Amino acid sequence: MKTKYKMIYPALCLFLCLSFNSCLEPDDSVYTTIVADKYDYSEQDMVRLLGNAYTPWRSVVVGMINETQTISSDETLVPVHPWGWNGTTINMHLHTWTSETGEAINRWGELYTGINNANQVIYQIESGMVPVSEGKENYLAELKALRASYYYMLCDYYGNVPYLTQFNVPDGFLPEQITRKALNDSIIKEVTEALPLLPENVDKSTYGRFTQWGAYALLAKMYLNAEVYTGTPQWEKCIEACDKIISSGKFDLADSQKEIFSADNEDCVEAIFAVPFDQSYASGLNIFNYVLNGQFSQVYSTTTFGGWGGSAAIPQFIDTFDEDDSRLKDNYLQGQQTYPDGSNVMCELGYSLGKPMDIVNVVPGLDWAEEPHGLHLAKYEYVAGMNPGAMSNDVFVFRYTDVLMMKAECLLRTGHADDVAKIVTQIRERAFKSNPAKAEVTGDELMEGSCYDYGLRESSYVVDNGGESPVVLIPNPRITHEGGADIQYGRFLDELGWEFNQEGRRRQDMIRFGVWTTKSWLSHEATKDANKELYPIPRTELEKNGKLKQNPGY
Amino acid sequence: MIKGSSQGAITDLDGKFQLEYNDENDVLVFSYIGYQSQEIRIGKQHFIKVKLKPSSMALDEVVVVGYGQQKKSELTAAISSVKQTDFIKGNVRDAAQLLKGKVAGLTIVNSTGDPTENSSILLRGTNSLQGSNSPLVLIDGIPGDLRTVSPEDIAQIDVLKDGSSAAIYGTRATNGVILITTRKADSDFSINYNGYVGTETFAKTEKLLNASDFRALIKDGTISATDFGGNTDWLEAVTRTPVNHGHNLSVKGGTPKTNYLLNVNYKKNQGIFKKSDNEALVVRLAVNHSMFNDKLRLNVSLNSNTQNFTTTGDGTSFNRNIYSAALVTNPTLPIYKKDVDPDVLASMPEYDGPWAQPSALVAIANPLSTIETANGKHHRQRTRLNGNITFQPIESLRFNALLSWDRYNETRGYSESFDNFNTTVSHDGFASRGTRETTDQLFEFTAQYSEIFDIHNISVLAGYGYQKNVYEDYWMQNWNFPTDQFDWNNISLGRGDSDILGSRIPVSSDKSSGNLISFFGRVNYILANKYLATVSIRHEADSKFVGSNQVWGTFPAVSLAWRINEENFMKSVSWINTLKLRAGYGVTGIAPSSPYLATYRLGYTGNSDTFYYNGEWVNKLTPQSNPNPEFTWEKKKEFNVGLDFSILKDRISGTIDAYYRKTVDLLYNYPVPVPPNVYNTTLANVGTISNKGIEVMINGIVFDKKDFGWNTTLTYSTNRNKLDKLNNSQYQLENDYFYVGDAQPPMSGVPTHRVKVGEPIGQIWGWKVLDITDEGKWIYEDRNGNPVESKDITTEDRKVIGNGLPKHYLGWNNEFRYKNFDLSVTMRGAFGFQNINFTRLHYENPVEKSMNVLKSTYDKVFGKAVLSDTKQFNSYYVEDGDYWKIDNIVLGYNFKKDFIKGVKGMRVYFSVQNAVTFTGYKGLDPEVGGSLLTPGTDDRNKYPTTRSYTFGVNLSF
Repeated sequence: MKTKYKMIYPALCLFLCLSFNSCLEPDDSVYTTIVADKYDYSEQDMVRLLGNAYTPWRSVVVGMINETQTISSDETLVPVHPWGWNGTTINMHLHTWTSETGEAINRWGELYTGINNANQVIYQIESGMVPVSEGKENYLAELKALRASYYYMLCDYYGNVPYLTQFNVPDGFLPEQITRKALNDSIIKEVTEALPLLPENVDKSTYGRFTQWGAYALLAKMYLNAEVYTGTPQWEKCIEACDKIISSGKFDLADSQKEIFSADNEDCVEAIFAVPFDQSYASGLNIFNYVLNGQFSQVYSTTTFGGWGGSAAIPQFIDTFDEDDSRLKDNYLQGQQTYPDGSNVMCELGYSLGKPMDIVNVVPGLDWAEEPHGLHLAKYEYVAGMNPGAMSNDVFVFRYTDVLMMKAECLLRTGHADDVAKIVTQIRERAFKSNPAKAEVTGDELMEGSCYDYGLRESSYVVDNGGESPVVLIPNPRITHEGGADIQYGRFLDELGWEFNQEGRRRQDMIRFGVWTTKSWLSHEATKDANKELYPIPRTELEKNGKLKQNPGY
Repeated sequence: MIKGSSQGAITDLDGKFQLEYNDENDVLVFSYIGYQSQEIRIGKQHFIKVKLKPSSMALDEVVVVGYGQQKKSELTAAISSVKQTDFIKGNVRDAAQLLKGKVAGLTIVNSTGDPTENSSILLRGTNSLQGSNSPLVLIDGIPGDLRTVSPEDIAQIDVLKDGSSAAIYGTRATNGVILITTRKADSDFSINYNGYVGTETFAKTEKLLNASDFRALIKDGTISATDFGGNTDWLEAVTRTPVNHGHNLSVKGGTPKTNYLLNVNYKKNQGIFKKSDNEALVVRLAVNHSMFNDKLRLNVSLNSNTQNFTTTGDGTSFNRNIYSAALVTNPTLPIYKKDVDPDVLASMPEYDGPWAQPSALVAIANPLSTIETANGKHHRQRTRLNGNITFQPIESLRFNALLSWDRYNETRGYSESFDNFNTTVSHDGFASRGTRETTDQLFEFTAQYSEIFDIHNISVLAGYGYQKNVYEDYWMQNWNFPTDQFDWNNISLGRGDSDILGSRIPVSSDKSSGNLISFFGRVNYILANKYLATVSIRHEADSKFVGSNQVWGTFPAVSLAWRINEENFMKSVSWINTLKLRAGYGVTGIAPSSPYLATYRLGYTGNSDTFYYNGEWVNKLTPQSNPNPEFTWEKKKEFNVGLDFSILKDRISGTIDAYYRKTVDLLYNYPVPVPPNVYNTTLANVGTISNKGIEVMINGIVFDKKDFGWNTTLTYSTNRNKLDKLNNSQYQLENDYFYVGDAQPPMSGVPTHRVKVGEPIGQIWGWKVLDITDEGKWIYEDRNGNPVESKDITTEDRKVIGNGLPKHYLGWNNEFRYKNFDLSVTMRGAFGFQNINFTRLHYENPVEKSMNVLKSTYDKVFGKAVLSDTKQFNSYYVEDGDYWKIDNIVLGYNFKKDFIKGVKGMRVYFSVQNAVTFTGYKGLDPEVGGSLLTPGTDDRNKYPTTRSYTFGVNLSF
């Protein structure tokens, strides 16, 4: 009997063991992802990989439009509102950001993700991991131009940054930091080398990708800012690059500025390098959320409730517009806001509660602004049924008007004001259709200073709420008058502001025209500190890479 | 056993025995595991009937160890055992709550009052930077969780504390092993019923501005909110007096050969917040059968666990935003529109439904409306079928096969009606549906041989285990419904996918699987009943490591003990009953929390993150993490010494343990730069962390008279923790520290804790407040120790301003008995730590101009000035958390037998849990959970803890 039972046990054990398939093999099944070692890339995968290098531009443009190039500038701010915004956005207006201020430092990671992804795809092609039978060199050139475009933004924001073009590096490798000038030179070298291999055609197949024209526009930007980046201006080279694009005949001015920013702007003739967005397939463009109040969710019947009500236009900036300039009306919401049924949008908080939302060109100060205060940003078209956190408008990092204006600026700076007048007039024409005479500008006018009335410009906001004495929200408003007449080529800076407001570039222009640290606006007092022209390197990055040295002044 | 001889006998299953004897003066010694031995002189009797008393204090009680049982006297490791009689009584949520304050070194925290929330457990400090602090929970040898079986069905819980006892469980054992033993079937027929009913109140509530305070501040312009004309206590509006009740019916019986146990447990707890509840039905049927002269024994057990609860958020239980909304919502806002001052109502935005809504701009809805317009049900079903076959061909040899099949199913549905705030501002209605299934299979085969040769007592165990788990999840959401009548039951009616510009309705499915393969063995050796040794080893593979160079790991342990009281030289010391010295060393692993950590994987990006190529949206193919084939086991090595003693006829007994544990190859999501890395963290083995501590438990029988008894138990533990190292040859942080935690908007990005080499975990890191200016701006201490105003402070000036991990824990349990009354009082305390009071940090700053805040907001800081600075994370909000709690009080009365005819025993009791807290901490409860690296974080949104009152009855028939 006993032996019989003893036989059963090993047999039972064996049976049970086998019934679990394998009793010694660790389970290596995956279900929603692919094990890299077991995957053979096919030719079709090239596109799927290429996407990794391009899509980081999405968060980069969102960041530059909402925060990093705008709310620290003289066009827009995020004041303290009754519903919040009492944190780091204050530092942005005051230029007191630190290495922990998200609005100033978050671009670093986004840009390096783009660079690293480009490096990775380049490595995947060069190492033969991805088979590319045709156009290998063209892909590589495209990726290098794209990578240079990320470095361009790093050069603009942070200046002295690590420069790395390799993906396959030894374990523990830490990249070296180079100077802003060296970075500038590397970008120009790379783009110049890549250029001949880039496509010339401008059609559906190259939309959202780097063409020769995108590369020339990138070069033009680098040359335009060369004096800031390197100390040596490169106006002639900028004109040269712009002329390549202009003479290609591939682009044209759009009939109206409005169509460039429409929700369905894919076929725009101005698009030189586009970052495509889509409500469903490429989310992230959340300008609605960032700038509008919750009531607008109902105005536009948005898919989900949104609206954080952050940014407001700075009244002094709005005051520079000519009253007949259609861009003022097209790019901003002002006056009484209404629902689709015609009823008034009402204010819901603070002392404006219950009053119709009649948006006025007044911001009491950084410390207080309510729903109607400050024109609301509306350049990128809002449409009914939109997603407030995922708009479908594509963003053009480089557009044709900009190329014309870059050329114009360089001509102006090299003493060809009259040639500039023709270009600027041409662009103004579509903004002054109601009064074409005003479109005309002369060379002399363009040589004038700015009409921006710089200076601190706070106002006390006095409310009678039925208490014993009225409530004063900005008790000691600060008002100074600095004006803008002394700014060299200030009028041209104004022109840039009128055309390119809200496009995520005002900071760059202000630095180039020397007003970034020298002028005051609203609650921002001139810092007189040249170090503020660069943002600090994020604290977390300094901790990860000991080779990094913080920018001066931080 | 005849005393002084080797002659003895063993009873059969009915307890009958036969023994031949020579001398009438021989003394028979009767002994049984878990009972006091008894000596009877044979005399002239031929038939002796003996009823053994259960051993109360006895060191001979049975302790459950890994893959077996041992007598407490034969233990060589640090294991704490708690019997049913010593459990916390009353309305307990899970098994861990039974042990609160009972085991030295085991910290059990219930940081919230949410009835669906499980206890969090911390044993012997923080040993890992990744993973979790949760111990391995085994129910009758099968992995499960604290709610797998009902607390009333548990006979005993054993906690394997040190490395040498836990090492036999290898990779999962670093945070300790909790062995839950359920009640066993036997042939004694009995029916038992336990029932209780109770209620709860908040232990403490925040003192907020009331409507009239708020109104006055509106009038003088201090705040810019609107006076809606109402007078609402929002916390009162969303809460209730809950009713909790529970019933446990247990029936057992059968024959000696075949017997059964059926336990049915039903529990329904209402939370203190409306629509927060928990309902559970746990049924367990166990059947034993033995055959072939007891050589083959079968145990089959079926356990069904059903849990239902209401949800007020998608995928959550109680939506905690409701609590924070109740704190900050304007107290002048009435609950219903009809009660709003008509003039104000005319100026307010129009929202559908009867609810008064504060502005959409603050995106915080009327908290009661959120409760009433949200509806969700979460249904969980766990079915466990397990069988155990024991074959014992000869007395000393035993084979055991354990099989278990466990399936967990979860279905959840959630919907929002048309009056919900979300609906009134955007889409019409919302519904969500989801389901999850996990399957766990276990097969374990063990062989054990035990024999006594002369003075050598040897026992050898060898085993093989295979465990497999599969996880699957699926959910979908939809909105824009034509009606809100159908909840989530007719989700196809929604038109979320046909919004004007064409959006997608979210759907998701996921699956993962893994296995654990192990070989293990153990040898116990006892020499002359004095010298004890245990050696064990486990060799194990975990599929989570597939892709790394080390899938298999080996975990050895050795422990020794010396029963000093058995030595001849101790025989004369009659006041010492037991004295045992123990020492052990063991290696355990730490299981990573997620699968596929070492596998370099590629994935397709989601549909909202695609690449526009030639007119089409293409899903990208991207790496899922930075590769790291060097990835290896995180191992904890522990050395433990202990002393067990009992003196004065076992009136005083106790245990003292001291340990030193060191985790090497610590896994951490190491921050790395991008580029060259793809992601900004890489999971790598980089550090070393050490913990040392002392645990003391002293048990005393102060009185043991017929009518009055008093037992007291004191537990104490202390732990010191230090991060020793944070780099390896491959990963070198420039700084030997990193930051964790977040002060939350508008201070997001500001860390709350710093983890630094040479310092303990849990260091709170921020600016140190020295004073406040007359204008109400903070004055901080800068890095050089000089005072500096807040506007000039920099990130470099932050300092250690506290530590969230208690240095000392103390527990004091008392049991009194007077005639038929019994009273037990459990007290606990923790000392030497600080908490970050997030509620004060966020709601005690006048910068909040439209939301409600704490009353203390407008108090002068340091008696000098009202704060007028932005929200800043600093030492003003870091408070000492030291506390002493009278945690559990139970007063019971035992009725005489047959007080009611047919009722064998009857007991009634009244219990209070979380009765009294003595603390200087200003927050609601100083006992906070907090995650691994950010202890002491008192979350402002947490469901506050409650005090519960329970009346119960136990009946046996």
